[in-house]
Amino acid sequence: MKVEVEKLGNSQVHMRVEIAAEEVTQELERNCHALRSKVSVPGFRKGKVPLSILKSRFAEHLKAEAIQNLVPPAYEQALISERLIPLGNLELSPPMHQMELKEGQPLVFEATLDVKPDFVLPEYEDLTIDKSPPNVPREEVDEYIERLQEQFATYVPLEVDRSVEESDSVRIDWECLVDGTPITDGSKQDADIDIGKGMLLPAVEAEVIGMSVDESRQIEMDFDADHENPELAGKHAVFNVALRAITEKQLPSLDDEFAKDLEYENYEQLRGAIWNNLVEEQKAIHNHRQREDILEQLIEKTAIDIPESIVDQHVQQTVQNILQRLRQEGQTPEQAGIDMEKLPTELREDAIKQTKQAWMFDVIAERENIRVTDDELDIEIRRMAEQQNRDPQKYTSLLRESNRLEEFRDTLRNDKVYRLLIQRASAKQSLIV
Amino acid sequence: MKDPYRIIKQPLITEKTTILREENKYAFVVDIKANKADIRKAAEELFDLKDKIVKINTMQVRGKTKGQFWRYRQGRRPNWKKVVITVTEGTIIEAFEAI
Repeated sequence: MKVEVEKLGNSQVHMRVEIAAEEVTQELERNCHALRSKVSVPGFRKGKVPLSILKSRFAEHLKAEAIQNLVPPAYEQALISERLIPLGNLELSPPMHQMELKEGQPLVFEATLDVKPDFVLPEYEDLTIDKSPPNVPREEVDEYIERLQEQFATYVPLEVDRSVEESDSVRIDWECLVDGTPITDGSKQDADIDIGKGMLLPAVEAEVIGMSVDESRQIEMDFDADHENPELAGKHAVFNVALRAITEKQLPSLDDEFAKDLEYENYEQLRGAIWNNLVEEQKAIHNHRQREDILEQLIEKTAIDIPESIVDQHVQQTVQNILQRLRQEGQTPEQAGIDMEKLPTELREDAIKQTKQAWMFDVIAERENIRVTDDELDIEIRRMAEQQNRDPQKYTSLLRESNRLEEFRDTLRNDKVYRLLIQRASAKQSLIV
Repeated sequence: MKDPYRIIKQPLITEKTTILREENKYAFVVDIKANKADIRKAAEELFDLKDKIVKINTMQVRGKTKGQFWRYRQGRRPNWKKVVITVTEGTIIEAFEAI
């Protein structure tokens, strides 16, 4: 087999493949023998037909079959021997059903196709990223605990005889009526409210200040036309508010008791757990940023011409995914605020980025011998299944059915590559702000 | 009977005749009324066999009876005549090969 390759641009090639005459003859012969046992020709017992008669009677069939058998493997072999990775857009000339084949003559065909372009992988050892360790100051933990305190605050009615003042806490019943009918979730009994914390609508709050215990008021207001709740937007609403009590907000004291309510042994442990959580959170964000940094630097350093066909394909795929997700959620693109006209253009850049990443990571993984074994895949799937409260076995078969197992494996592999890159990257002097 | 195509109807290609070809013998289905002289003439004309025919053997083949259960409905395939023409060493009948 002879192959001649001609590059058309960076990601398209033209190949001329010649299959040797002997191969053609051999293939014909082989097919003839296979055919002999299958056909019955009048005048001959099955399997006893002379080859010469078969050849002349079934010439067309034999040739077509030989082409079917010869061309695809030759094409694949040509790709392998020329180290080309096909990306599609294949055009054979002449097309397979029009190819001519003559016994004793080589079979020649030409193919034009998109291939993965060559690119030089940049040095990925000298990337710089922010490697500063996570830093959670005391104050952040304090703030977190304060929020917890607020959440677990109790309100005790005060025996006072005065009207509501700013910075009081109150217990009220309220309901909201639009056109005389209550709206969804539009009423509450014994609601504990801190005045001045934005827990009530400003117009309502203004009226509540100055009310005295057991007083009821009716407050009317108009909602803006662009209010986020369509039930209320542009509507005239009536609030009925009754003040039950002026209360005192009591924050739980920060002691072991408080910790025990939250199912920790003691206060110190609670703080420790919060600190741990915050650190983990920061680590995750940090890790994400490191990955983005690395990817950006790699992409910047690498010039790859990605064939249009691949970008288009990728964009189409993403659009399909989005549409499918919307359908599952029962939304139309308009409802979700997606402009179907503009979407492909918006996705283009991402598509290019993702393709670049995938290709670069392929090369890095190969060079660094990074692989994800079946065991690792299994463990990871088990973990995922546990997180989502699903049966691991069912989850695996679900992934396999939807052809996402390999996708998942790729994700894991990319994780490994990232880990390696992060490990190899040098620390950037982080700017002190 | 003039038209040679009406005398020699078609080549007879079977396992047996394929073997016979090694002995320079070619078999044909011919008109049942044709005699050896007719066949010789027709073969010479059709296949350009002047002075190349060694021997002509004819035989009548009885048509098979077909249909099984009802005697009165039983039919026959027509009888037909087979001829085996022996040609001189090295002579090839092109028409026979092309099938």
